[in-house]
Amino acid sequence: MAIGAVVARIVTQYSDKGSKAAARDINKLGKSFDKFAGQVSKAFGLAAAASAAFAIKIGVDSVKAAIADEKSQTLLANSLKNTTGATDAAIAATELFIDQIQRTFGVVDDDLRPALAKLSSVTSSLADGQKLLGLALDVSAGGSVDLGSATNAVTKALQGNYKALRNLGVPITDAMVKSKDLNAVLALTAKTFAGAAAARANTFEFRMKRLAIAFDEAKETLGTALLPVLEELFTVMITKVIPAIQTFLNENGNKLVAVMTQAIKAIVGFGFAIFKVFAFVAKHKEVFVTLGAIFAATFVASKVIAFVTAIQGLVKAYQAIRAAAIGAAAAQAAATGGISVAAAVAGVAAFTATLGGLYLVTKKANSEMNKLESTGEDLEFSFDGLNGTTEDFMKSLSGLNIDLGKAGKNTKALTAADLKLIATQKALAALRKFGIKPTNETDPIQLEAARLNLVKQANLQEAERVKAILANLEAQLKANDAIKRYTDLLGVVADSKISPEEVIVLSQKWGISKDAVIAYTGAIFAVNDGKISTREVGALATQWNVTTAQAQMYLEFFAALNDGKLSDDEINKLATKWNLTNKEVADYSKKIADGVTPSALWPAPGDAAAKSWKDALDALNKYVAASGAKIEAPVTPAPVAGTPLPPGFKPEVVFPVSPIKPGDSGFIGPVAPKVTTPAPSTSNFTTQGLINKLNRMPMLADGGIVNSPTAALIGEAGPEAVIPLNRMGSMGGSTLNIVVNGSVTSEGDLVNAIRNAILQGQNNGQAITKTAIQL
Amino acid sequence: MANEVVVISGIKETTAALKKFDKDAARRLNKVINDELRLAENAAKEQIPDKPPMSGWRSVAPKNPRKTTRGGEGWPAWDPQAIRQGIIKTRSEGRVRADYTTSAGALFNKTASGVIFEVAGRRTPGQGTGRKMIGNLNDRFRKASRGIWAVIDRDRPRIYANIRSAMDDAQKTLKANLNKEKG
Repeated sequence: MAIGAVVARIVTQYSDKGSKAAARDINKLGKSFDKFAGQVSKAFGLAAAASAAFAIKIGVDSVKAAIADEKSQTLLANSLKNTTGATDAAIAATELFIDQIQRTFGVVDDDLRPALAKLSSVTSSLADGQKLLGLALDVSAGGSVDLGSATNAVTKALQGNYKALRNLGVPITDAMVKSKDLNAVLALTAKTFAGAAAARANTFEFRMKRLAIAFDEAKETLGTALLPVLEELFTVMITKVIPAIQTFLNENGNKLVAVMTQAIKAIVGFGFAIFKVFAFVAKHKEVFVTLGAIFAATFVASKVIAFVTAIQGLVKAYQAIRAAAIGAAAAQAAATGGISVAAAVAGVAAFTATLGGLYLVTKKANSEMNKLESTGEDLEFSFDGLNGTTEDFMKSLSGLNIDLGKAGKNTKALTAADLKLIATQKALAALRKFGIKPTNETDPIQLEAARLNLVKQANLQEAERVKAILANLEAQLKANDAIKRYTDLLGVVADSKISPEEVIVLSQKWGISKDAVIAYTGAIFAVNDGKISTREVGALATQWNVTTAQAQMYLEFFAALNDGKLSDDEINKLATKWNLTNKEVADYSKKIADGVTPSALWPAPGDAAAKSWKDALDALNKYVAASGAKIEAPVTPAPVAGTPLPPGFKPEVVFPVSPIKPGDSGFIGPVAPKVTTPAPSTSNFTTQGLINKLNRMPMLADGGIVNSPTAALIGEAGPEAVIPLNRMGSMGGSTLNIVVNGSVTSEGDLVNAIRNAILQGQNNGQAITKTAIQL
Repeated sequence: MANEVVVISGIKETTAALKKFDKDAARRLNKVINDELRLAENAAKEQIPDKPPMSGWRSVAPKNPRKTTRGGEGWPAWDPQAIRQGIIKTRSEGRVRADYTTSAGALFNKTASGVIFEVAGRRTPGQGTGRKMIGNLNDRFRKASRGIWAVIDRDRPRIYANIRSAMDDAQKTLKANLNKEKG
């Protein structure tokens, strides 16, 4: 809608939006009603409370006013009777007169009555007194003084003293004073202030006063009506309540004293109990330190505090009794007419309530004392031997505090000591467990040794734990490797055969030898179905060139290691079956897990010789390579020494792996590869023959010249340099010309000459070997 | 401007329910309402005179308006075309009013000059020149509510009757469909 646009509704509707808004407004209206109701209720409550308070005030004031009015009436009546001889009827008529005067002129009766009594007394006539009261009212109004002052002035004039009237403005001449014409003076006074009281009464101020007087009179009327009831209350108070309270105090005073005495005794006794207990604890603190802490925490904290609280309640209660007693005195005074009724009632009520509170507090104190007493019995600490006095107890309190402090400190120290003691005991127990018997359990050296032993044991345990974790981790890694290997195997045997190339690839990938790959492959397919058949064992034994038992053993170890580790049960089982020690089982397991082949694990007889032969061939190959000979051509045996090499010799040995297929001989399982074990050799070499040949080889440790290919040993006695003769210079050698000056007469002279020449050459930068210098 | 408000209950609900059973009936109801609104809109536009209501009411906006007038915009020009374009019908519900109703169809008079023409003198007879302007407007046209409200006051009985009739038909159709649905 555009701002400022005029909208003209053509059709309107009640929609759900309107209904929701209506519901909200209704709810709001309901809340407003509730709020209004609450406010009204509160207002009415306040009004009611105010009304009640006002009513009470009216009642109290009316009673008070009635009492005061009754007193004023009594005094006036008594004065009139004495001075004027007025009768009761005259006195009653006077009250009516006073009531009329006060309502007319706005002067309270409490002021009128004394004035009337005074004037009547002076004139000895009630009628004259009433007339002069009217004059006094005019003087009061005209002279702007209170009625008492005006009455005094009039009274003095009656006695011949006109000064007061003259001071109030009455034009009394000296002649009149000298003549002492009272009637003339009074007439002049009346003339001077004529109508003043009436005029004043019509002023707003005095109209209000008249209204107040009327209200007060009503209150006095109410109070007068209440007085008989209150008088009856007074009678009950004086004859019933106060004597009952007095009787209660008389009868129960001794009991109260007894309660207090008992309480004090209990306090002292309880203090001794505390002293005794803590003294005992302090004496045996090493034993009772814990008990002391518990005692201080629970007994002192709860029981004593409760008892002290009860005593404090007693003190407050007795203080309240004192205050209430003052109230009671006030009540007594009220009963004798010396105080208002309200104060008297309040005082009695307070006293009664205080007595009730005292009863409750005393009862609670007794209960707490009983609890303390029973608690003391439960603790079984005897007080029989305690003969101290209260003063002794009080003196001991300071010491008790010190002991308690020490106890607290000892508690902490002993706690640490306890911990150390416990640790020591554990260490000693551990030593005993290891067969070590300490000679003295308090010897600090032995204790320290025990502690260190504990530490060591703990460290060893930790090391074992770490080792176990590492072993587990290693096993996990091996298991992971096994899984990878198995996965690789599944990949390469997907075509149901494994080629030599695949074996080589796996060998390189797994970082193990080809034999290990073949052994592993055979084993994994033998055990992957969860059982090892005799046929598989036999086939693998043939392939691995080991016995059937060894193949069986290898496969069982292999199966047990399929998770990368051996459990205790597996170790025991293998050790029992194969009559091995646990260590041997562990060794076998490690080797198999490291990929050692069965043939390497259990070498066949003659394998050692074959190995030496192989090593010799390797040495020869290296020699041939070093000599620069071509290995393609058959090697002609060296003419110098040795035996001709066997025909068909090749410097490298190849271990062929033939692919196998299902149905081939040696095939194990659906994908088990057929592995050809490495053939040692097909030559006619024997070990001993080889050794003899080697023994006959020329050894060139002392040097020599070789002009044709020759199998020889070099370096057998230390480092040697093999240098072709035609390349002596280019391979680091140099010619040193030594010129000897003078005669050489002996071999020593020649050696010295050569040494000097070498040193000279060395100084010139020529490379001279140490050997040369040592000539 | 009349204070009378015609409230028809259930237009929205009836239309929504009717769409489930008889869309043609819902369209007929909407068409009646829209037609009445269109008629009212056109009639209100006809209330706008082509010439300015008074000779001094210029037809172009002031170049240098007095800043004390209309927030500094000056007295709006009398452009009958723009004023008529500013009178549009709407069926937007709008806000909920104090009587918990929403609009089911209304006319807007959106332009400043159109609003002045519509309501000038509605609350107070004005003072000075304003009083004279209001008096002239009252004499030449009618008292306040001279545009859209004049049309509505005039045509309200017909509009109400037509919409009420369409509503009755729609509710009958709806009831028949509901009975049919109940079997």
